[in-house]
Amino acid sequence: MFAKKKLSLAVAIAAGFAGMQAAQADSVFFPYVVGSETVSTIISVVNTANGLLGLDAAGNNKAGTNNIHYALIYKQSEGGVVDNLDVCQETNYDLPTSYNDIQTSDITGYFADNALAPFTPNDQGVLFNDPSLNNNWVASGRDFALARPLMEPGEGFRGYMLVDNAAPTSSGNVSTVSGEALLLEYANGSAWGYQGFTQLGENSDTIVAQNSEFDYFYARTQSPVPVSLPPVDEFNVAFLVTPVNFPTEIASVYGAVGENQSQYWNLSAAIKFTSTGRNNTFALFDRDENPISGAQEQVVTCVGRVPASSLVGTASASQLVDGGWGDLASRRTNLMLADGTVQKPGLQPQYTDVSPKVKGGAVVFKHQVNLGSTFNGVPINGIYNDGSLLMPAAVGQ
Amino acid sequence: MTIRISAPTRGARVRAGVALFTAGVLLLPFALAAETSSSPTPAVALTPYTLNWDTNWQQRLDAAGQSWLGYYDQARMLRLRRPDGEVATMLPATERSQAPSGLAMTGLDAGAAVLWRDKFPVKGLYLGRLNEAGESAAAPLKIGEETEPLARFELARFGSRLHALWYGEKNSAPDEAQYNLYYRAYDLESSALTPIETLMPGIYPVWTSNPQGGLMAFSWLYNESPRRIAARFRPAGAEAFGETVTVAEVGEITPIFEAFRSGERWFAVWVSEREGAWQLEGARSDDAGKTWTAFTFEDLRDFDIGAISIAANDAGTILIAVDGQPGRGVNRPKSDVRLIRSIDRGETWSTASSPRPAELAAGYVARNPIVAFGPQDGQVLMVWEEWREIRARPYANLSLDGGETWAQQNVPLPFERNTNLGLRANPGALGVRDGRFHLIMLESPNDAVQSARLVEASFAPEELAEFARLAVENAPPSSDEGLRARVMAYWKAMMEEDYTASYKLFDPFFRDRNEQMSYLRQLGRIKYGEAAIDAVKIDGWRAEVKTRVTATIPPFTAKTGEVVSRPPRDVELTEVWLWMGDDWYREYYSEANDIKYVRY
Repeated sequence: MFAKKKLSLAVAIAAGFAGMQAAQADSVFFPYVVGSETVSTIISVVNTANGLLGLDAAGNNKAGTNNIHYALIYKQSEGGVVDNLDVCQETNYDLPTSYNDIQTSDITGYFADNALAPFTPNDQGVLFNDPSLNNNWVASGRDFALARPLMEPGEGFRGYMLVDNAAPTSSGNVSTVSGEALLLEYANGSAWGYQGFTQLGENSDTIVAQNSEFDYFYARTQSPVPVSLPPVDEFNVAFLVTPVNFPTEIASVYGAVGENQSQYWNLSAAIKFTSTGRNNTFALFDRDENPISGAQEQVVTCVGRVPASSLVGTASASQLVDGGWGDLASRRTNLMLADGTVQKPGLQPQYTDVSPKVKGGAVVFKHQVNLGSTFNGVPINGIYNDGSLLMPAAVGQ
Repeated sequence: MTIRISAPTRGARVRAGVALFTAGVLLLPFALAAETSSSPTPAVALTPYTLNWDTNWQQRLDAAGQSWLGYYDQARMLRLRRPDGEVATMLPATERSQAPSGLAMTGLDAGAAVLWRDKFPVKGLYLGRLNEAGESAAAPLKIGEETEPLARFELARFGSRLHALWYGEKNSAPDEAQYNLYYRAYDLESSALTPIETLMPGIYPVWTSNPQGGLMAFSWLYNESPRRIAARFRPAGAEAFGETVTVAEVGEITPIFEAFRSGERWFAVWVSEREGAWQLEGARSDDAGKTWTAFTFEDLRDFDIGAISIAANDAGTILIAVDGQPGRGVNRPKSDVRLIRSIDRGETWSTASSPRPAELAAGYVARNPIVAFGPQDGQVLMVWEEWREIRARPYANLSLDGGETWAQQNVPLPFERNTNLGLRANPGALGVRDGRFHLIMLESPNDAVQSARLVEASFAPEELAEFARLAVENAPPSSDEGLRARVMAYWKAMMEEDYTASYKLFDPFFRDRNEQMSYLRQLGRIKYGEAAIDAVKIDGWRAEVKTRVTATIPPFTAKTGEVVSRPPRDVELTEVWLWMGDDWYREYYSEANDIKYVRY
């Protein structure tokens, strides 16, 4: 069982992924995963690297070889509530794979339960009748449901995942590990998903070589990005926010040191509806083109869920009965200096930073669920449960 | 039907939600039936159930004291209820397709004037006038011209002139402000329109007046650096507004931005962002807006205000009622209401105090307060939308000493069973006439709280004591016997997979938004064995029940033919059950989507 605890900032800064593999490995980044008694995340990982020879009898990497490595960076709820400002914790270990292997796992273990012995094809978190001939995942005895120990009555977790394969050589400009995530609410049968971001090892032609394998700055959502909002009485809208690392090239603009996504569990970013110039000087517009002021920033550490209504003051939110739209921006709020201290607030990234190359600091999903059995007042069957990855920043910016 | 006249007193107010003491309303049969004082009748319906819960509406009186009620219905048609109860539809000459929005009204000698905005065929501001019979005096007049009006505006009448203040998005030059405030007057006798006067950049048209017709207009100059709030004064009879005067530097504001007057002193209050926290603050002027003195309500620092209501008289008493929540985080305390008071025309202010018991503040929402002076000197009524009974109820506090102490506290006003009664501090929402308070409310017929109608209650201050007595009779049961039976009935239904029965035990806020069929589709994955109640804690209309149940996922067959299952396990749950007036119901909560339908 994982201990439920809040890490101090100092501990979190010092903590890295001890289990991460050689720097030349490729990786895939799932910015948002979640689990509870009624929700699970299904992860599919594809490995196209060869030379991964599996685990030894003790479940460790065979000497001189590498396997696929799963890391779950998570924060648990307390009283059913996940604190957006909590620092994450991490669990990781190696799992077997092989050339052109796909493994689909249910990270909470709901759909693939190993409570019964002997193992079955649905055990160890592995789904879909996956044979164990080549990668021999059955013999490893390892549980692919990394979050299974986190499942407690009435509680849940949010997090992100990094999976790397420690490929000895990359295959051109294509990552040898990739994947998709499916967030499934099995109580209602509703689901949404996305494709993971991939990154190459530093031996390849990466965007920012010095932070290479786990540099996911490029995955950040465009800042600002226009976002529509449905009527507040019919939809529950929230933004799922995962701060991303600043590589050296970008961090140095702010006098800070470069990071990668696997290095810290406390990356913080803020989101805010903000202006983009003279034609949009306000937080939001209602559905009748009236500008509405009163935006307020919300900060997320590691990963978090921000209700749309919390991004404006209450009086502003009350003017959005029919919804509207706004430009949603993000920025990092805790860049680190070389001496280990946090950069002063005034020197941190700002929404008003001019260069698009440094704008943005988080991957943002928009999640919306309908309230009740109607859509635009018309009765419908089923639950409308949608998560949309907001537009990523243009490559090279 | 008896129609009586309420004489306007102590200074008119042209901004929504402030000049409550000038508003009289139609005297309708009220709340206590003559034959039995213990059976209050429900408030009188002013409209059918064709409005949205959050619709735009306001009431104005004409010089004869007759009520004219404007509102948007669910078809987004702008309706005007005449004093005789008949309803007229306000349309520009273009008929449909139109897209009316916004609403401002003022009373005429006999009849009312209505201002609305329309997008068809071009953005325009339309002025409609209805005579005593409720008939259009003329085709709606388009007064916004090329300013491209948007849907925030004000309308007032002094003498023979109608005065309009609005904002528009006409951009005259690339380096000029996109949004500006505009003013124009219309002479009822000559039918002449004054030229449009561009006042200031801004998006919130705010003004107040004195009895002579002097107008003090305010705006948040969003486009300047630093941003500021400024004012311009137009003396009564003047042909133009005076120069723009800075009131205060204000970076960011919320839509809470109001103006009022007490005697010769002019006020504006607003919510600004100071060092990352919302702050109610304001400024006053004793020289008709030439100079301004700022003030701040420090004890409302970091209090995110959602609604405001202000009552001020010429004697120097000012009452400011607000609702809000502390902080700006995602998880924060529920909305509460506060009252601030000054008896020296704003020289000093009381602390912001809640009229509610402290133990309620954490657990139940209170919002949308309205404050007004009573028919007798010293009488003050504060009403608010209270959710401690799980459904929305109007609660009231009555003071006989200008708001210093309360003679009646936390008194629920009469209501019709199974309805929700919401408040809005709109113009004309609460007024005094013929020695009685008149309160207009939104009434939702069910717990979906989507459709609504406007209703009006009237009551004398002394009747609050009777309402308080009746409230005791409606109190929820203190015994947990019935609650325990309902809890076990729920788990029995779950164990027997009788989900039709369990559905009926969920709170009506959930059931009124979710058909039973939708609920049934969600169930069946988890099976329950035994259930036992460990503890019950009743707190008014809400109870927490600690329950132990045995749960398991029944075996299911995978594609491979393998049977997958989980062993049974004991789960400890904390359930919330709600007293809804007739019985206890289980509060619905979707952990997966963080959704509740209750609103308390």
